Amino acid sequence: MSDADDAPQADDELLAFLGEAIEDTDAVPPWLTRFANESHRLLSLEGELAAIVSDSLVDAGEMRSGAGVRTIEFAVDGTTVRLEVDGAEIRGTVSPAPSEVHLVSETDTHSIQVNQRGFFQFDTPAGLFRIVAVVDGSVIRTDWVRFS
Amino acid sequence: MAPERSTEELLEAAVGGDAVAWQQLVEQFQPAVWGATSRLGLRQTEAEEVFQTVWLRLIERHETIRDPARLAGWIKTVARNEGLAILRRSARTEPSDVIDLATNAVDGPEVHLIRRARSELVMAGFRQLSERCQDVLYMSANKKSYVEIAEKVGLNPNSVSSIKARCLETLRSFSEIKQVMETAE
Repeated sequence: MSDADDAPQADDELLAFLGEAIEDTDAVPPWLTRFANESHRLLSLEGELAAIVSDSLVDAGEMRSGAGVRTIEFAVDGTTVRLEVDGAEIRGTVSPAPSEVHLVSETDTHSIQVNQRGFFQFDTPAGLFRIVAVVDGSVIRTDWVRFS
Repeated sequence: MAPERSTEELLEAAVGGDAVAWQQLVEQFQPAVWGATSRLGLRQTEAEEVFQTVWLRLIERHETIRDPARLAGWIKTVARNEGLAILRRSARTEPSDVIDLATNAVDGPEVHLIRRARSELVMAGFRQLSERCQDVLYMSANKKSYVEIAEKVGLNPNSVSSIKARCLETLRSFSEIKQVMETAE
């Protein structure tokens, strides 16, 4: 029925050569090359980048249970952003308290309610995201992170 | 032809909005990123997550990187940290059922040279395929099931077989592959 049945042997041979070629040349999966090329559009120059300064999962000296809370801290100049991931929920703090907090994913952005002390809360997004906050009139953006 | 730009110039241009400069960086450094990523003992999907994250870190933190030697080291460090976080997130201490494409045994030097030349030709042909054909054949060559391929590419599992056959037919029509298949006979 399918073309594959007509020439299975030749197909197998060509696929085997391709398998070797992928191995020999350390060929990156094509969809990853596309992602890398397209990641350029995720570049944002708005505001200051708050880089990760600590990640409990990276800093832990020993293996921990996967069920624990993961804490990541970002910092730039005098501002820190702290995210605590507890399964499906993330609790965040920006200090000093921001006037606005936005959750930015690869495809969209939405605002999150933040209280006067800088606390906010949101559902753990699927895939990559970052926090953008306005503190004393300045915009800061965190590194991209992924929790699921 | 534009003169070749240094890593620093490419980064600077990319950050300034030059997508071509960014693509040149990707082309130049993606083997290093993938190499560092795939040696971590992660599952395939996890290795892919790490690969993606490394590029995002690079574009955001470009100021801290100045020369190619430092970039390669930087890539390894970022990949390692991201990989560790994933391993700890899943509380694994042992490397998983790794798919590491680069660790198979190597044949003798003559065999290796002939095979290497063949592999270069095969990849030259492969890169001329459509995105979908590249995805389908890359996964087929890595012995992925039709169901896995269908999910990745967004196809009906029943149509993977015929698409794969058509992609192989296209691949075989390229001069590089004709050369390979003639030599193999």
